[in-house]
Parts: sequence; structure tokens; C-alpha cells
Amino acid sequence: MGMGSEPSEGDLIARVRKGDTEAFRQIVEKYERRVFALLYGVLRDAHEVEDVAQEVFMKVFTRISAFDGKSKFYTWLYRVAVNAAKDHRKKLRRRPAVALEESEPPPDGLSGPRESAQTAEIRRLVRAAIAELPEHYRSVLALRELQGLHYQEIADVLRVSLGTVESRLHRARALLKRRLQSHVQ
Amino acid sequence: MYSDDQIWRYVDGLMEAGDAQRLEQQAEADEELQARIEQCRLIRSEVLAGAPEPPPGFAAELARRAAAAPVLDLEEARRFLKRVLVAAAVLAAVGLALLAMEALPEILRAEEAIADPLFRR
Repeated sequence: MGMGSEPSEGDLIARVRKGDTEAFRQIVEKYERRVFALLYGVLRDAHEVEDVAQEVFMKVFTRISAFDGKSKFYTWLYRVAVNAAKDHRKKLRRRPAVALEESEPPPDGLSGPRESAQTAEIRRLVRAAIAELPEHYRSVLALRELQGLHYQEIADVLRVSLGTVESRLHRARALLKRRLQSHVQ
Repeated sequence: MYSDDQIWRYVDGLMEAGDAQRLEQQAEADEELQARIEQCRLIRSEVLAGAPEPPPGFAAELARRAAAAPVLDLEEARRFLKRVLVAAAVLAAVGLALLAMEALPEILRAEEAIADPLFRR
């Protein structure tokens, strides 16, 4: 570790523009967890996330000149990630969907022997309901929960209006509630 | 009675402090409201729960791959495209001028023929 302060994100991006792979590594390290989480939120398939994340970051490196610097970098990065997830889903549509039961168990430390069977079942139902949502609803939900992004930021990432974000979020949550209630009853 | 949107605003932390306090007070005495808040929190927590962690060395591996990747310089591509378009426009203009020069005698002859009284008859 050097003695100087850490380079700012702006400096790192400027260096990536010049092809500096060390700056690129630092950008990846900064955002890898968030991109993995976002991709999982949209794809709902832990097995696919790493491949798509690689694709996202390689696009960031090779097309960094497309980032005009007018918006925040993460807005652009999340847009690249959501678009890559959408493209990936399109490719997968030809293949049968992965059954939810085959997905990896959640590594959140909440589900373990201490958790009651009922709570685990409710969580399973919530995840199944989220997985059944249309992709554009999942994208909005994932972006909202990713960093608590504001509605306007979500609108910037998805290039839709603020009203569209609000209505998608409202509908997604209403759909989840309906599905959960129908399961519980 | 709180609407779902109001509860979501509270869970999202978007509700005014005073309103949020009133909702919390009511939820203490209202089990149904409490359950609805919990349901929203559960949905929130499950949206990203279960996301895999990046494998160790993920960033370093990508940096290695990036070293061999061709970088698309959009500015350079734009300049190149501009040069190609200018060259195409110049070529098209020259071509049209040459065609016009080649066709000029024909046009003049045709005009003369039309002007000929024999042709009119």
C-alpha cells in the first residue's frame, strides 16, 4: 500500500480510458459486490451471475469512452449491468428455466437451524414470487434495494421516466403481495 | 387505515418524520399493521438476498483479460467515420460532375433535335 491517499473514482476512470488495467482492477473491486447483487436481483439465478458480471466489466473496460461523465459512473455501470442481464435472459429463453429449488441456498446467515420452518417457508415463497415477476419489475426492485437508489436515479439507469419507475415499483410490490397472500391462504 | 403505498413509503424511509412516528405508534397497538410492515420489510430483504459473492481474485483475473482486450475508442471511431463520410461525399460530388459532363453533349443534341421543325412534325 502506498502512503498517498487513494485515487478518486474520477482519476481511476481517466486512467481506465487510457487502458490502465490496474485502475480497472480497482474499479472492479469497488463495484463487484454491487454488480453481482444487482445481476442476481434481475436474473434470480446464482449460477449465471458470474459469467454476466465478467461480460459487464469487460464492456466497461472496452467501452469506457461511451461514458460521457455527465451522469454518475455507477448510473452508467448499472445500466450496462441491467442491459447485459436482459440480453442474457433473452438468450436463455430458448433454454428451460432453472428450477428455484436448484438454486444455491442463501448465504445470508438468516436461514439456519435456528430459523423456524415457517419463516424459512415464507422466505422461500417471497423468493419464488420475486422470481416469477416480469423482468422489468425485478430490475426496478433490485435497483431500489441495491443502494436504496432514489427513484430519479433508477429512472436514469433504466432510461425511463420517474412516473414509470413509480408505477413499476407500485405494481411489482402489489403483485408480490397478491402472490404471497394467495400462497398463505 | 394506512394504504400499501404509505407503508412502503415508511419502509423505504421516504415518509416524513412526524408521519413515520404516528405510524409506528399505531403499529404498536395494531397487529395487522405490524404484520403488513413486516411483510414489506421481508420483501425488501429478499430482493437481493442469496446473491453470490464474487470469487476471490475476480478483479485481478478481469484485469489480466482486459490487458489483451481491444479497447473501443468512441472518439477515434467518430473521427474515422467523419473522415469516411466526407470522402464519400466528395467522391459522390465528383462522380456526379463527371456524369453531368459526359451527358452534356447528349442533352444539347436532344435540345437541338427538339427545336428542329422536322422533329415537331
